[in-house]
Amino acid sequence: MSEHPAAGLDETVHQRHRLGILTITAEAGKVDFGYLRRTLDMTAGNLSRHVTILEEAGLIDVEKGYEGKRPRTWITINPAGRRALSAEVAALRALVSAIERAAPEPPVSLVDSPSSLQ
Amino acid sequence: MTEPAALLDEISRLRARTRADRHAYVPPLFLFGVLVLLAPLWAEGGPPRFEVAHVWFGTPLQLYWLAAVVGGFLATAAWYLHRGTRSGVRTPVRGYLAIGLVGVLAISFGFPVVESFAYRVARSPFTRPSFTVPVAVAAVLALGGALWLRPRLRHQGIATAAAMVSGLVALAMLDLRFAPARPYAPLVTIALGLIGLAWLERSRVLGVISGLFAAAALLANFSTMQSMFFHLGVFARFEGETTTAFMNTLLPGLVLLAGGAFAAWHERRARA
Repeated sequence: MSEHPAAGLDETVHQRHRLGILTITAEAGKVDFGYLRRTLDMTAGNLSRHVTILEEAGLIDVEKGYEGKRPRTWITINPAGRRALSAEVAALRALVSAIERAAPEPPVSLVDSPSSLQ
Repeated sequence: MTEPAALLDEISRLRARTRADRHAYVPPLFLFGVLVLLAPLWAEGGPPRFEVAHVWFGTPLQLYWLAAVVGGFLATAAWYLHRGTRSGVRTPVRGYLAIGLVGVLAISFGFPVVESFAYRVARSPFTRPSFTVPVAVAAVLALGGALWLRPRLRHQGIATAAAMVSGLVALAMLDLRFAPARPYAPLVTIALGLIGLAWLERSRVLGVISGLFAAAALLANFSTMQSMFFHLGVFARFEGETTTAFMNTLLPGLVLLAGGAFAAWHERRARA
């Protein structure tokens, strides 16, 4: 018997904000903390918490520095992070397909017949 | 919509937004367009100036191409770094610079070496299309494969090295094929750089513009441009090196300028 698609979901990655962080960093070379905060519409504290979780899981690299007197944090996804994101997207796609296959077909008369709407 | 479907939808939306935010290829298109169109000004300038081990370097046009290609690639990389720092989302340009480095090495050293031995090169079986074309195609495919594999590997340096070697082989084939004939191989280096940039940017628009420019660059290298002008009845006689260079660089330069204008309009519409 094949494994249920939901088994492919990783708890660290399968969280809306963390999935967003991985998606954005996978699309770019390096992403600024401020850009992530604006794009994901999160508070600095909340974003910082999720970034720490991903960094501790070994999925992203965080580089803290200064630009002039202003502190700046750049975030980069690493190969493990890319693999985790690809696996998560594949698992989500498999899950969507499984749900679509399991959903009962709507009765034809209710969908196609104009008279049923009257 | 189910929760997994909503998450997939959000992933697509975030990916598209980040991609749009990091696109910055319009200024490089205009820059290279102008640099290509200025090349004919250096076409009539006398013989090569430097000799090292029987290899002659440094016709004014060669020196111009060297400065234009090095300057253009470095200016593009600097522009991407500046824009990435300002917007907070950076495009990785190391691959693009690697293409530039390989291209510059190939046109700066390979091209004059082949040109200096043009007589012997012309008799060599390794300059015939039956050798250069299949090897160049295989090298370009290997380059694409290495770039595709690179983000998926644990040791990315191996893929980078493979990509650089493949690029060097492809350009070496171009050197062997074109050097005895005419000095427009730098157009192909610029085209390869733009194709690399389109790959890094994941941009279909830049991909199409780079493809059109690469086709125009190949037409210039195969001397098809002169035949086209001849059939059009324009510049039908030989009117000097400057006119010949103008015929060969006009279409590639205009493709870049028109492509830059279209890309600017497309970007503005996408952001609106």
